[in-house]
Amino acid sequence: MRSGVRGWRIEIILKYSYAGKMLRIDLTNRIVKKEDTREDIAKILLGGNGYSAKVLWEELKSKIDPLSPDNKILLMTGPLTGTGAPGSGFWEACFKSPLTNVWGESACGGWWGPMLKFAGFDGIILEGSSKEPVYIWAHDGEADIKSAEGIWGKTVPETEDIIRRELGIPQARVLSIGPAGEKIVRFAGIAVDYERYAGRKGGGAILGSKKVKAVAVHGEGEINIAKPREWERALKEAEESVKESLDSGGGFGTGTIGSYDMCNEMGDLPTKYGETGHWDQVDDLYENFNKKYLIKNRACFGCLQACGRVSEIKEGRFATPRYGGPEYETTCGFSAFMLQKDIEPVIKASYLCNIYGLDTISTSHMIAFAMLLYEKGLITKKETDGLEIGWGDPDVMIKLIHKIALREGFGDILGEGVRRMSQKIGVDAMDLSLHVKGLEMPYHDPRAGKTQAIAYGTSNVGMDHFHPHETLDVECYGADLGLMPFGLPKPTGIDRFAESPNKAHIAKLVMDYGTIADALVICKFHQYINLGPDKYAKMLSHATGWDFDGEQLLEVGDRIFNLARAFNIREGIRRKDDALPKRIIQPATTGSTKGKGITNYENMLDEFYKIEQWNGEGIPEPEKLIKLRLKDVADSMIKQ
Amino acid sequence: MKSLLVDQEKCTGCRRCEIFCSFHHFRTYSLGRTRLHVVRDNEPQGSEGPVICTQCGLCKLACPVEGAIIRDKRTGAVLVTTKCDMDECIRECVAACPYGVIHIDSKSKRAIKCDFCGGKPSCVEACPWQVINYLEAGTPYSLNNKRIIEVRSKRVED
Repeated sequence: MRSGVRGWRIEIILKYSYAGKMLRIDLTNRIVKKEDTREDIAKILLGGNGYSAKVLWEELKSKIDPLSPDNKILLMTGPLTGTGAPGSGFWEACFKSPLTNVWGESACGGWWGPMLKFAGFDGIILEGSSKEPVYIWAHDGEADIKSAEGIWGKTVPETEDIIRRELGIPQARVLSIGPAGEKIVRFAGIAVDYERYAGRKGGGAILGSKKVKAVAVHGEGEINIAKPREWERALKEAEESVKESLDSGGGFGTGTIGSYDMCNEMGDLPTKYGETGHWDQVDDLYENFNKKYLIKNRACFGCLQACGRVSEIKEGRFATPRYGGPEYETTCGFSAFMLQKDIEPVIKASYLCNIYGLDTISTSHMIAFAMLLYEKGLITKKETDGLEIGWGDPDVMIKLIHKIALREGFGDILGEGVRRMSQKIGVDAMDLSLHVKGLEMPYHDPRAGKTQAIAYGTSNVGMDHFHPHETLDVECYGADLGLMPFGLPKPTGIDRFAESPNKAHIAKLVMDYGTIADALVICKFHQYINLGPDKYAKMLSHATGWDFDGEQLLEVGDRIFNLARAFNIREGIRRKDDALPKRIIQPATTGSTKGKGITNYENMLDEFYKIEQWNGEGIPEPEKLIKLRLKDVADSMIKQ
Repeated sequence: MKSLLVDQEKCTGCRRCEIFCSFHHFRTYSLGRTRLHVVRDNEPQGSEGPVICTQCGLCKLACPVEGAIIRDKRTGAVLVTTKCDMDECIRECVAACPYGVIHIDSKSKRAIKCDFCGGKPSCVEACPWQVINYLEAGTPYSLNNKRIIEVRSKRVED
């Protein structure tokens, strides 16, 4: 078979399942370069976060300002993106995060990722910084930098529409930032296809600092498969297990918002800024959403689940046009987390965040934080532009979203993120704040399942439920994720409140598994439904022609996790940065986790470090890195 | 005789039908080599749905090359044969198609269109939402139609 993408005469090294080319765009000097996707990296780190980790490890100097032109951002696909594999519509953004000053990665669905690959590129590396607003147009193996003068300041849907009209290609997919990214709100997200978000860790702020408004892609190239016949069989097998799982009620057929009531029951619904994990005022919230506001389900490219929920509020105070509706995290954030009872304000808030380009998790987190500080008297009307910020006031909530997005008045300090804001206010606020490494807590409660405490503490991106993985899904909700052949104990037999060393083993296994999804760049929701490493390995092997089994794939996860850890060590991360916030280890006050806090975290962490072969300070031992084929990283770690 | 029928209201826009179509025929994934297209209204409020060949045969009528486009008696599908030759025509078939579902494949340099995959359409198998159905014309269609009427009339009532 000839080159992977139509129209190229040059030899492409990675012929199968990769596009084989990367786009490197120097924004300072306006230089567009095409380069080969590096086989040496792809073979041991695949794509997505693995490929990016290696590139950023090699190319970024340590301790740079994330918002300076020195930072780079990679918009990556992976070997399974754009193929027919379940959940193959993903792409991944990797960068040094402006919130945490360490490793940042954010994954997202939609149609943009596959389209980038059909346009002939495995990924885009953006470096330097433009003086004028620009957007990138990558199509059919070529790319241009275009002026975005006229679209700067527009919302996400406006931007997409204008660009598609300007290009004259209605099928083009557009990645963009909203006004929040332009104003460098530190938790601004990156949107694709109107409503899909690589929301967390501030990727939108990075694009804003580089003055890149959008990246439009289109192409009709091909993605080739090394062994089509075997591939087809592996694919069918994977699909069957997904369908079986969906039929028996697993997965996200109800959308992630469908797990709202269950989370509440399990004490996994962070309430009143994390004081507890249960709220009895929201029993009918999900039912209400389903009955009154849900229009239809929407799927990303190649999906079997369709967790997207298109919703609309026809009239009233919170009237909202038809748009991608709130998912679980958004719903919890704008309801229980800030003691707000109704679904209508949630839908409105979700819509506003979507068009402004804000991360719904961090935005709702900041608003709830302001409510808590106001209650405690740590901020007053003087700081809040005269607003009375009472718990659960939907009007205040909406006002604050506008303020944050445009960084007006009180919104300016909220837009700095919880760590910077609490540092400015003082030690009392710092004690109340919920974050690890500077990333705001999302809406799963580690008191409801103790592996989550380890995952929150040690995740390279900070307090995140999705990178590497939502580990409490195993002990709390009984999902085995297809990991039992790899040493996972039977989930229903695990005591979710126990803080035994065994929890570190479970966490490690699930976290490595979760990391793989971001390297294959495939939807993590398909991991919840028992696909297991073996099925992924089979698909990867047949697609690329390489030879992988489940164990080896888990090792790739281990390798990427440790490479990103090494990146963080270089930035100065040590054991003290893996600590959990005080407020979340205190006993919860209501629900099924009532009276249960986290008391033995340090011991679990010791065990986790032992499994990882990290030293007392959390630095990976050189032997471990050499075993993972990361010799140059090992050398650098010795110097730390 | 069976036919492909679309219940657009159920479509989630996952585009599996498209890529499975391209893989079935060319063993490669490409949105440029598919024989049906998922159209998505480029508005956040917009709906989506696959546009498929109805096997109306207008392309066959328009084609100036003898035997290049024929009707398969067994499945009823209108097929492009190896006699298709771009030097002999000015792409009348593409112009004649009311739905834009016949086009020239840039690699094989021949017109490509839906062929029902010989009686086992891969788009139908690929669709997890039962949007595309391969049904006997007649009774099942009216069943299918009934659901659409229900959904749409409900919308009018709202």
